[in-house]
Amino acid sequence: MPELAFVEAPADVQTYDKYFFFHRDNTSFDEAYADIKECDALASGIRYYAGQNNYYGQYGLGGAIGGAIGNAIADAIFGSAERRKIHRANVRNCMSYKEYQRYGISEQLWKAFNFQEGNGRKKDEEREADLLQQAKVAAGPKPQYKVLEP
Amino acid sequence: MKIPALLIAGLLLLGAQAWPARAQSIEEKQITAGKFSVDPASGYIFSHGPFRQMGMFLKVPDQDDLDAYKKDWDAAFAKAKAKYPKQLASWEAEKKASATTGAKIGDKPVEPTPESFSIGDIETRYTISFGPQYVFSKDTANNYYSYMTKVKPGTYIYYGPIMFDVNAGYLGTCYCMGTVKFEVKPGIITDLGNFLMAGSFQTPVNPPTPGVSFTPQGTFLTIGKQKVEVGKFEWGLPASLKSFPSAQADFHAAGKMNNYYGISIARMPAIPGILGYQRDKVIDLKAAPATGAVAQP
Repeated sequence: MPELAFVEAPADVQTYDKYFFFHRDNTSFDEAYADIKECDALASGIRYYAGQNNYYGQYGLGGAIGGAIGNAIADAIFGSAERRKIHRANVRNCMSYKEYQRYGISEQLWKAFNFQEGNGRKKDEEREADLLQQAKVAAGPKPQYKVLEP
Repeated sequence: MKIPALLIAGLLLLGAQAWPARAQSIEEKQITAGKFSVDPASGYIFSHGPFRQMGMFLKVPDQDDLDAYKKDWDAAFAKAKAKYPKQLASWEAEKKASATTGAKIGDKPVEPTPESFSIGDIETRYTISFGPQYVFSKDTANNYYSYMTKVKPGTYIYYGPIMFDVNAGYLGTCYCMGTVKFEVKPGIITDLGNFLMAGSFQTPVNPPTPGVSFTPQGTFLTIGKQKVEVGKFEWGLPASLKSFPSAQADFHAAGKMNNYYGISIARMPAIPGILGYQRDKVIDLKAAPATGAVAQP
C-alpha cells in the first residue's frame, strides 16, 4: 500500500490539480482496478472497448497505431505539458462519473505510485505497477483528508 | 520533445486514412438558386444552434461497411505478409554487416499475424464532421446558425464537438462516456433541431464544465467574451427546406466508445426520457425505461 500520510504545506495545496488520488467507499480492489484501467485507457487514447460487434476480434488490435499518430502530432504542436494536462482532466472526468472522490497529496508521495505521460508512453510494466497501486488506494481505507472538487 | 515539420507531414500522410471524410456541406444559397435536389441514395443531417458549432458523427458500420473493411483488410494483410520475407532478409543482412561495422540496426521485423495486424479502427473510417465553417444559413442578429450535411444513410453516433484542424490535429471533446445516436434514412432530411446543444444542456453537467453555467433563467455558454443562451430544445427546418421530405431524428442513448483521437473526454449530460446514467453506466431510457438497459454504441 503506498504511503499517503503527509503534513500539508501551503505549496502542496497549489498543486492538487496535478497531484491527487482517488477513493470510493464500499469498493473492492477488483472494481477499483477495472475502473482505473478503463479511465487510464480513455484518458490516453488506448483502445479499451472491443465494441458490440467485436471488430477487434476479427481484425486485430493495430488500431492503436492510429491513436499514436494522432498523439504524436498533438505532442508536436501543443507540447508534452498540454498533453499531460488533458490526461489529468480526462482521468478526473472519468473517475468522477464513477463517483470516486478526489484527494490531494504531496508531489513526492504521488510520484511513488503515479506516472506522467506527455510525449511517448511509459513501459507497460511501469504503468501496470502504478495502476495496481492506485487501485489499492482507491479501494483502501477512507482517507482523512478534505475531498476536492471532482 | 519537438517533432520536425517534415515528420509531422509524414505522420499526416500516414494517418491520412484516419482523417474524417470531407462531408458534403449544403448551403441555403444552393436551394434558393435551384441547384439542390434530394439524392434518393443519400441522407441529410440538419442541425442548428445559437452560435457556430462543430461536431463529429461516427457511422455505425453496417454489413456493406464491414464487407468493404474486410476486403481492404485482406488485401493489406496479404501485402504485408508478402513483404515480410524481404524485410526479414534485409534486416538479417544489416545485422551481419553490423557485426563488423558496429552500426546500429533497427528492431527485427515482426511477422504479421491476423491477431496483430490491423488497418485501423473501423469506427473512424466513416466519420462525418460539420462546422464551424460552411453554415447552411446564419442570422447573426438572432444568434442562429444552421448546418446541413449530405451523408451515407445509416445509424450515426454523435461523437462530440470535435473538429480536425490541419495545423493542430483533432480538437474538442469526445462524448466517449455516453451520447446519443439516430438513424438517417435515404432521401430524407433528418432534422436534429438544436438538440446537439439545447437538448443536451438542460441538466447540469457533473463535473461542471468550464464555460457552461446553469441558472434558473436557462443554460448559458461563454464563448470568448460573449455569453449566449443555449435555449430550449426545438425542432425546425427553415422555410427553404420545408418542401423537401424530412423527419425528426429519433434519438437513442449510445454507450461508451474509445477515445480514438486521444482528445479530451466527457459525456453528454443526461436527457430525460432518452439518456440516463447510473454512475458511469449509460442507460437507454427510451428502449427500456423500466429495466434501465445499458446502452450499446
